[in-house]
Amino acid sequence: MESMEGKGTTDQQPVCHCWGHDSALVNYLRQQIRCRDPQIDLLLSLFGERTHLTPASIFLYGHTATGKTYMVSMILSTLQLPAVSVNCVECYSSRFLFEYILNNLPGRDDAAVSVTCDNMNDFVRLLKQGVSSQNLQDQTLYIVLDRAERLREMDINILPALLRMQELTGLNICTLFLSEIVWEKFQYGTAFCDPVVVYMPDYTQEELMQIMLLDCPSSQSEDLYRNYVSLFLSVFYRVCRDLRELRHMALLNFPKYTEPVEKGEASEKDMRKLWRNIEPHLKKALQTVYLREVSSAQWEEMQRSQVSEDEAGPATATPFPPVDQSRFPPGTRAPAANTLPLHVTGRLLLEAGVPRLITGAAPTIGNIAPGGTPALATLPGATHPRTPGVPHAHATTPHAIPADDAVRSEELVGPCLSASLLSGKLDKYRLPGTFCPSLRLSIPVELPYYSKYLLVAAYLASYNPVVSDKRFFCKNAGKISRRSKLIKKHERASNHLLGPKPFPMDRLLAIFYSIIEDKIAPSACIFSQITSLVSLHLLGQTCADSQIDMPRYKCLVSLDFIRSVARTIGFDVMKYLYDFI
Amino acid sequence: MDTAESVSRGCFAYKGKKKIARAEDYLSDKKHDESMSVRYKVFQKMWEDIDAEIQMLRSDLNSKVFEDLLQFICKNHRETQRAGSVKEVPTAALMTGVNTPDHAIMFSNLASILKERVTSLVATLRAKDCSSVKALLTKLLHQLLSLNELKPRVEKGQRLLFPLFAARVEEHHENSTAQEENQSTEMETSPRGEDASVEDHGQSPRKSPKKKRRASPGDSPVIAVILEDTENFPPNVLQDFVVTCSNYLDRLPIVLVFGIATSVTTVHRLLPTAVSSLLCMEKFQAPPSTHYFSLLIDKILMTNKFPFKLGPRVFQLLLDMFLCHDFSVINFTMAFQFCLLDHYTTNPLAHLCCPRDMIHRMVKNLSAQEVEQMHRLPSVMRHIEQLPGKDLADILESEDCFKKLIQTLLEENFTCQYRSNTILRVLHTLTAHLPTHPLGKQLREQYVTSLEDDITETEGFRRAFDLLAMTAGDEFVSLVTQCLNLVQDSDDNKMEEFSSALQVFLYRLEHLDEEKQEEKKEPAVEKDDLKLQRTDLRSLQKRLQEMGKKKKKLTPYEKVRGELLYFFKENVRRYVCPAKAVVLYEILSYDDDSTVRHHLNAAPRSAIHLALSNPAHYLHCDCCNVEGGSISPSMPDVCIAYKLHLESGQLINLYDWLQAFVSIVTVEEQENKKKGSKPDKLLQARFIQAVSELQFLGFIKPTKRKTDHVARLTWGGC
Repeated sequence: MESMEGKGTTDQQPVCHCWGHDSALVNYLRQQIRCRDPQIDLLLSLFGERTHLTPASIFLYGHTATGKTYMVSMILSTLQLPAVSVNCVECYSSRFLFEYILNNLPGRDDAAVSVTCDNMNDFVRLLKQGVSSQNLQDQTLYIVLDRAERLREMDINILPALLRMQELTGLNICTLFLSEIVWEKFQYGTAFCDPVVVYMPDYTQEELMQIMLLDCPSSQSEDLYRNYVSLFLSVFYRVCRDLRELRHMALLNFPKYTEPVEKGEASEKDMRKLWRNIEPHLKKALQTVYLREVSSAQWEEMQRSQVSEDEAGPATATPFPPVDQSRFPPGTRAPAANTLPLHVTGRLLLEAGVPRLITGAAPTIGNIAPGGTPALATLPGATHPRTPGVPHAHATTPHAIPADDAVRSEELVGPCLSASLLSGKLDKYRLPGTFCPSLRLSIPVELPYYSKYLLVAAYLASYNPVVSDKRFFCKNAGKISRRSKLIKKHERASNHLLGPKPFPMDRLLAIFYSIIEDKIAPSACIFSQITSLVSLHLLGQTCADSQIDMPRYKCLVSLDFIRSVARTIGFDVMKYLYDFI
Repeated sequence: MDTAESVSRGCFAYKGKKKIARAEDYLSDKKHDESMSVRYKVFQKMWEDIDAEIQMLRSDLNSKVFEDLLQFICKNHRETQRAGSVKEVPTAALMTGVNTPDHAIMFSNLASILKERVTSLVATLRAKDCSSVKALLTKLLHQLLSLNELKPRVEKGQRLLFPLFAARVEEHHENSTAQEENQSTEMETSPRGEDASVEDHGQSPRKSPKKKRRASPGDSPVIAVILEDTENFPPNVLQDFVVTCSNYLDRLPIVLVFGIATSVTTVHRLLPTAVSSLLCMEKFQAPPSTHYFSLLIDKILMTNKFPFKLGPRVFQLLLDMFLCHDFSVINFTMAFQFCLLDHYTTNPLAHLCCPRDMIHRMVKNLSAQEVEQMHRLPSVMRHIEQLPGKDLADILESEDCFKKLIQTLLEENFTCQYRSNTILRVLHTLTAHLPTHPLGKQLREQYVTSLEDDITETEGFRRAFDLLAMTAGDEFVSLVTQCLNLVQDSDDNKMEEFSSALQVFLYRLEHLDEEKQEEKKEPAVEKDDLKLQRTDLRSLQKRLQEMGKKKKKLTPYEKVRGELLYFFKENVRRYVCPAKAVVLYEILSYDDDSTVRHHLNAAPRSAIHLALSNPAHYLHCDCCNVEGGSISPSMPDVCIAYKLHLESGQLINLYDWLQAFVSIVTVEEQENKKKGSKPDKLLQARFIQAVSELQFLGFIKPTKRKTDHVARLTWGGC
């Protein structure tokens, strides 16, 4: 592979680190690409001098945001090596890949007639032509294929051919593959020529810090930013190592950090004070990693409202004080609802850990106030247009519950608390993915009346075994004997752990008609609602569209969601769920 | 029989002209030709007015969120560039609510506003067009490049790739039009390819992307891409699209608008973290459709702008359809339009239900026959009867007098409506906050009640006033002030009276001490009684009972409150009357709920059941008209088979079924024939056909559980 056919122009020079390039440029590169010195050296040595024959293909892999693309493009552009780089995501057909490369050969005139090419054979031929017409024969031409894993989905011959481009064209071509997955996953079929594999390791915490320091805003001193980043990483490094995301989060929260300094409350050196100020915010931000549900502007606004609320309400240092269940025994009606201002009620609920259990609860409380329920309208807290005290809910949930369905708050507090009773039981079924961070409490979607029933029926059909239908929905289904109950206790691995099961439409409608109180005709509107639930992805169709006589569906919503939906129609869904009986 | 008519008969298909349904075609062959066209004209006028009003409402409603969106789209590109470090595609998540039928119009409005005010580069994508990345990009670029300036090249440039597009857009904004022409001519001369058969691979000259020349994003207009139903996009397509967008962000200032019907979490379902971290989302909440709906009822139905009214039953039906089925305002508007149309087609006197300025003309042109019809209207008869004798005679004798009466009645209707609506709103202000909402939480509920019946007679009304009689002072004052605000700026004299009376009451409520002076007569008598000292429980109880019996002395506040409530009650009684009590209600309101239900709330299953169990309903024949569940041999085969299958259980034995079928079909011949003989082939064939039709309709399916059996798919007997 690395047979160095010494070409006439090369002569062994002692500056082995620069490979014939300007050493200033190489130094510049090292400066620009932080913490990647070994990889740069490796790549430069593989590339050799401009005219050296390089390995036919190099495969670079490493996690997201380890600087693969950046490093390669920097090297190529700084050293001004002839190169074409393609992002394979864009090339949904091989034709685009070929044409893009051919039309973007370095030195090609923009106005020149574009080349068309739709197979590998032509590509090789045209590439040869192109290279010779651009006088690139005596230099290595680099073809960079970013997101190379997409190449596997293209025609079967593309990957092998690209790997041996040098051999096929007889030119000095080096193909660089950049990917996030290991080389072994590319190997299928035959005719593979193994590339030189270069691994880009993850950045360590120190390296991350070093790189993130580059983001330091010009208005702030670097020391301050360094302190901030080290604090920041101490919180975030455990959950996220994606440099891109870390940089985003760091910049988002930095203004908050410097706030005391700007206000003159603390000096830049006063790390302790600054830490105490930023800690709760970072913890909260921790829950929004990767979500990008709020833009920077919105986030800032949220933080601002948070501050004003903290000043208004009783100050608590941490957003989630330890859960204090004993404050009011679950099951009793909370005295808070009637005697305390609403924002206190909200806080109590939050402290009781309720929003973590029922995701829909907190926004509901928050939204009732403007609508004015009779009991609460006269309370002092309720007159605020934006209810403070539901700290994480309001900024993200402008979704108002129309007055029709706003549940009276007393009714609401009841189930909330009883939910904490169930929590032990529910936690068992809580899949890791369904945990909702408090910032994005899933809002119960406002649905038409019958759609709610349909959704509940679908949920029941999805999570209850067919045999239990008779027991739940027939008027005088026999009682279940104690023994069979015991047996069931054991075998009940929980349908909630197994996930939703598909059910035919007939069963859905049968359950629907048995849970709905009033008599309604099976009109086309009902059927079209099923379809619209599918289009909202609350239900999923599990059979092909063509099967129209007995379509099968699956319910895709979570238990929390269905509970909040069922609550708005006054239906106790837990009583009908096989897992909870 | 004329044998020479034709030697061979054939059926020749030919394409006719495309027929466009015109209103005239439907109107011409009616009996009352003239009146019909008049009615049609009035209908058109009415609908135009109403529609214009609805459009206005909609644009007002969405203006706020659109304004925010526009601002976001305008400013955002500059801002993200400033932040610099991380490339994020600015994305607006527009939460639209679940009323999917309404979205199309909302997004088209948004697109047109964007085009008008921000950028000409706006594309709207729907999930159904975007099953693959290729389809998505094709659709996108077609929309973006179909601008006039770029047009000549689009037709040729069928191959669509993002970089190409980037280059084009860039180029377009850098170069002058002159250069543009130059290039396009140059294109035409370039060689055309050979594989033009494949559409996507159609040969085309392509500009190579100009990578080096970067237009700073500041000067080129933003490219707004609207994804109408983000939920339905295939995840991989959306992911690739977002990645591509972010790759080109430095050259193309792209802003995405995700229309999301449910919640933002959808985005995370669709996009993995690696992709979603390329977005910078901001959430925008479109006003919920229920809000729009209330506004519509408040501003369109509960005004006196339009004489046409929905009757209580139809109104309730439309309300139910909205709340229970789809939350779609568009569907509601269409239903309303249907009601209007049906009213004007079926009611021969409907043209009197017209805007105010047309009344005079309409009444003048009434024909003698129509006047006769008017006389016979129950509400008119009732009204005339209670007129004083002299007037009565005049009206009965002279047509002119009668016409004059009708005209005044029609004109008065507007003011009546105005008053009744105002009073209803006042009533709503008073009662909306009451616990348990005796008159409904929403104005519309109260409106329905008032249409149906005399609202003062209802249980809810009584309870509401009982509760009102217990309101505390300051709350009551604030309520009355709100009411006053509602009626204050009215120009109707009756309402002015009402408001001035309210003002007096309000004054009295605020200056209760003045009230007090009038009645300081015997407060001291009972005072000493209250000073109880030691008593046993018995006597205390007794005393308390006695005290309870005595009429409690009213405080001045309670007195004023009582008077005021009485005043309210009287006014409600005077001005708010149910739909049927209005004179000429037959002309002014539409209450045919069965027609509306029939047309708008289709029930396919019950229709099929009806057709199969009672074919006479659709066939209009006498022979099949039978009582109840009995089966007559004259019915179609499939009906007989259907009715027989209703009598069976889960599994149906085909042979038994056939026997039963045969015995019914051949009921006449059966007397002569012997039983048990093998059914004739023709009958078998007929039976099998009927059975397969039933299978096609989804009533039965073949089963493997038992041989010669079919499984029934429906339950319940006949």
